[in-house]
Amino acid sequence: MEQLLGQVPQQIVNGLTLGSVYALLALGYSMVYGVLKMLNFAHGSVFMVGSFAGWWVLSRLAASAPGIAPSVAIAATVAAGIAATSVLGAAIERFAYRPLRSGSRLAPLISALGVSIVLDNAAMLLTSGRAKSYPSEMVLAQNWSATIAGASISATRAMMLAASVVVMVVLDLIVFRTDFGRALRATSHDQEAAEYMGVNTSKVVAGTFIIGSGLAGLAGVMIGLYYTQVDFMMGFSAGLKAFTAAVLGGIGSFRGAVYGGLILGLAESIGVLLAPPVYKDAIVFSVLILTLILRPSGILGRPTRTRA
Amino acid sequence: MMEARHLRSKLARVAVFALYAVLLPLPLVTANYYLVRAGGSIGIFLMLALGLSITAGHAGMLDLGYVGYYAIGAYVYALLASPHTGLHVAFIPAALAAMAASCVAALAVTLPSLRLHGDYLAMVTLGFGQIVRILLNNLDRPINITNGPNGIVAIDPPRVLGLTLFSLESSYVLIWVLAGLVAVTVGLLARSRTGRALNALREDATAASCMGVNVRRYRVIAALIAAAIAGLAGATFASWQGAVFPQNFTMSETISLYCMMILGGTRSIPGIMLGVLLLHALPEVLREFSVYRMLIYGFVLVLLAIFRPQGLFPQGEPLISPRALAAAGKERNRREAEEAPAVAGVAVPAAACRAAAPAAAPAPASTPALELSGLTCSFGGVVAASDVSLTVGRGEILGIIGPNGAGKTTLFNLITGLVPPDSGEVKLWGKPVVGLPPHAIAELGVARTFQNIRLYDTQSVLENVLAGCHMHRGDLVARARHALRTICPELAARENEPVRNLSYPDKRRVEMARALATGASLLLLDEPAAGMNPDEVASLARDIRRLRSQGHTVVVIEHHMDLIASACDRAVVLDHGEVIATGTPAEVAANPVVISAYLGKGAPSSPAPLPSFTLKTAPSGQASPASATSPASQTAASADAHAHAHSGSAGPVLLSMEDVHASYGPVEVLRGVSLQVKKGEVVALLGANAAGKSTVMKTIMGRLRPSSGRIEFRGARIDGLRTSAIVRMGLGIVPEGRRVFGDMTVQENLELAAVAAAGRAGAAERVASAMELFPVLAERRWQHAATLSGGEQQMLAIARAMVASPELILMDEPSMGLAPIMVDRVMETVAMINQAGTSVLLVEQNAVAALAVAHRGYVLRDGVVAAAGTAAELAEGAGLAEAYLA
Repeated sequence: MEQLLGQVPQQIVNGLTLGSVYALLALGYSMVYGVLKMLNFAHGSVFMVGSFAGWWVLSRLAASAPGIAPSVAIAATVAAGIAATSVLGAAIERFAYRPLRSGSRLAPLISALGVSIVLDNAAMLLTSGRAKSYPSEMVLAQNWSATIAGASISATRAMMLAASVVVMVVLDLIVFRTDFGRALRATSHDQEAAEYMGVNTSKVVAGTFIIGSGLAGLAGVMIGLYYTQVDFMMGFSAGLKAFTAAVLGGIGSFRGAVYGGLILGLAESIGVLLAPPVYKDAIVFSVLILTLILRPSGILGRPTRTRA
Repeated sequence: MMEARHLRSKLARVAVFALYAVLLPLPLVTANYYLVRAGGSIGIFLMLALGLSITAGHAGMLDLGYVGYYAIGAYVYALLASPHTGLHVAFIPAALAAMAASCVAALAVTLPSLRLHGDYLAMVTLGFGQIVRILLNNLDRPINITNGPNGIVAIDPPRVLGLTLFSLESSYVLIWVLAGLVAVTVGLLARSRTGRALNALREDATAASCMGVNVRRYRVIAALIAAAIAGLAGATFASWQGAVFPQNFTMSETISLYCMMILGGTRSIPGIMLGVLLLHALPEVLREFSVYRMLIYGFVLVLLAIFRPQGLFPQGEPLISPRALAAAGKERNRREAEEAPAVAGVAVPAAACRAAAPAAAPAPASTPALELSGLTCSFGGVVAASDVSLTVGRGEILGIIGPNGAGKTTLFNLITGLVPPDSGEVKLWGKPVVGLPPHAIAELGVARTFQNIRLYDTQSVLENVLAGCHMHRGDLVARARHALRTICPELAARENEPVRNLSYPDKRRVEMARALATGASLLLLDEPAAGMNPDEVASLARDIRRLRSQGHTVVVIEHHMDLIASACDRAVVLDHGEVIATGTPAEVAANPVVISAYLGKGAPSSPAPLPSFTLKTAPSGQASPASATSPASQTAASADAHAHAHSGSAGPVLLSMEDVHASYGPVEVLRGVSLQVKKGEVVALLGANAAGKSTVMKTIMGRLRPSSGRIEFRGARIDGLRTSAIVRMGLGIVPEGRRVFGDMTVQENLELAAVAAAGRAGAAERVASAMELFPVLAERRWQHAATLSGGEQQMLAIARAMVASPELILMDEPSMGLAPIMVDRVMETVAMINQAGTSVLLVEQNAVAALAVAHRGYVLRDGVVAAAGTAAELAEGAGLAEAYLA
């Protein structure tokens, strides 16, 4: 028991680190759901593409310029991940979702499912099903670590936490203090009324998709640096977890997505202390199911009552 | 043309069955091992796809974890029929156990999730499917249940009725016998009462529950049947493959199933058969490309979603078995030969009447059919019903009238159990019903129609009316046909036409027939006369009276006063959720309180007396207003020209609509509207509810594209432009219901509008001047908009439009839901902004208040301008009152 307790601080650090990645993914999910009222099934696959884009750039650098400064390498990797996913997100929105805006509720879901299958399988074919390794040593000192309360924080973890915090602060500023952010919130609240105010909601939707996908790309690069192994299947389970985090926090709520992500990361890490590690994912899915059944509006969401 | 389409689809069905008939014996005949293997696999997938079609297709429940039930069935069978547990059970008992296990799992997943739908249900089921796979992979420690990734192998060959099927060919036959059974079961289900109930709850769960369908129970039934089929398929798969592994039950299988189902048409058996064949056979044929199989599936899904989400066989299975139709047809011919020609208005003979007999109510004859006491209900701060009490006696016909937003439909929702009241009682034949679910209330003998029409557009008239027969057994087709004939014999002749092709009044008639088919004795009709011309209204009044003579009690919500006058014994007037008057229709129409509720409270300074008028009790002989050259609109046009000539100080034309037609689907709502707003004017657009006022606004603002005509703003055409682009041209709008952004502060609402509509430059100044114009907003600038009162929100909505410095503002019903003093404030504001240089087009139900502040006005009726002139002319003329209360 004591041994178990001793591991808690480390797992808390792990949980927060992982949770910050989930939070970034959940933010993308929540933002898109907020403006389109649609669950973007393809979000996890976009995350996977971002991870591979980062790997590609980093492994090219490792091969051709191994002495390159870490800061340049990391900037290039992150830029690659974000650029790839932003473009991909814009394309998906334009070709697979926008034509379906006015039809039934089922068609966009099916289309999203189709897109995610295409992306996952294309990645499988391109990588021959084999996992790829991030040459993380290029970017982060592998033997540096800080210790707080018995938990060691490696360079990678520190970077992930710091990057996530910065991104979330910037996003918060964008959403709550800029014109675009206001337009985004208005469109999420009431799309028709936003048009009446002169907001071009098509542009807002496209922009939201790009930002959400960019966040997924960043998360993908971070996961690649953290776990160093990336494979074509990682998008599927990441997508489910991101959705769980978003729903847990209250889908459509920005702050909720952050809390949901952190809580989920902690639950997964601490859960590993209590149950065999192979059931890690099962724990996450159970959290999802319980949340949906007991409190579908999530922690920060408000249960609404509507006219018949 | 209908016949040709029917024939084509019948041929297609036969072709698919024929194809299978040819292909099925092929593997056995050629003794080709590879073909037998492929054929068996197709059979199992067919079973799965058919099972999934029950939940995802018929019941509309998106189950993404279906493979979980398949896995459970397979593993249970494997455990019972292999050396793993040493039980070596025969096929039939083991398969039954497998099905039972899957059903238990389905209950565990479905029961807690009954409240969820759509995206959320999809996620719960997805999570379930994943959990099953994880458990299968890992339940080999501490006790070895599933043998983990190594699976369970050496499963016994199936032992059926004492005979062990050692050869692959015999198992092949077993698979296809079972697949055939499943197909027949699903086909019978689709045509059964359960199948129709699933159909109803998929199309419109609210309407279904009002017709007696216990939505929750049927969702569980659908899940159980689908799971049982999956369990059977799993057992079959286990005995066929001889081994089961966790990787047989992944997301890929679910995706393949959905592809097959969607390609074929989710509710059609031959469609699914074709889908399974195509998506299994093609990858086999292109074997070099089998590694691309899932990639191709993905593209297929996206393309299907974009171009043909309804699949190859969109019409699904028929909801009525041909035998039942034939039997009903014979019965009808026999009866028609016997009875005297049924003439509208003549009492229907007792034998035919039986089918529409009212539900037996054991309460004594003096108990009123419906009693409401102290009923109160509010939504988000708006009081929809306030201490409403009324009684409806048996056999009475009661009319409920009142201006828009008065709470009339809410009353129906309260009675039928769709909405719970905050306080008060509802009694049906003396029995209290508050708290009962809608289907239980329907079983007591209440049926309703809906203001917004809730019919199944893609299905036929007969199928729609049949949906109302859920609570009955026996010859349902005869019952449905009788209901149709009672409401409208002409419609009965068109029973196979899809409802979406019908006119608006015909759709309302179908809804009424559906309500009648439930056998209810209390009928609640919500605006049954909408869209009808005066002759049709008169005929409807006769029909309602005839329903009463057959023993029904009827409550009618209506805006057509001539229907109320000719059909109803009594009328109740609602305003702002309160009962403000009751009495005979004539009494109520002459009641000054009622008149002012409709036309609006007079502004204190207005000297003109309220118009008095008499009700028309007989339908007028006028031609219907549908034709653009009708006398009414010609008069309107000349009055308009006259008014323009007298508008003195007004400037050039800012906004003009010329002969604009617009439709929602097949229903034409604007039938040639022409109007103008000049610079500097306030123009009022008046008319009763459903006259088309809001549609005019929507069309001007670009939310609805006109089918013909021109709309111009400052000389440039705006019909066809995007809404936000129109706004940026200088046309502002204060939408109906205000639509402020509740999560944002007052300041943010104004800033958003200032920047989005007119750019960053000068935005801060414009926001500041808006605050000066509305000091109350300045006080509340950091409050969230949702916390403002109704009147304050209205001010914010107007300020939001003003902050872009528009030349013309459209205001849609600004006084709705506001107390009289706030109405005055709003109208003062309109006058004020007009004096400051902004032109206004004001849509209002409160005619008196609007005319007090307007220069000119138009009165809309049934989609055309029925009257036009200066404000003074309109206020004194009879045209206004006629438009509202005639």
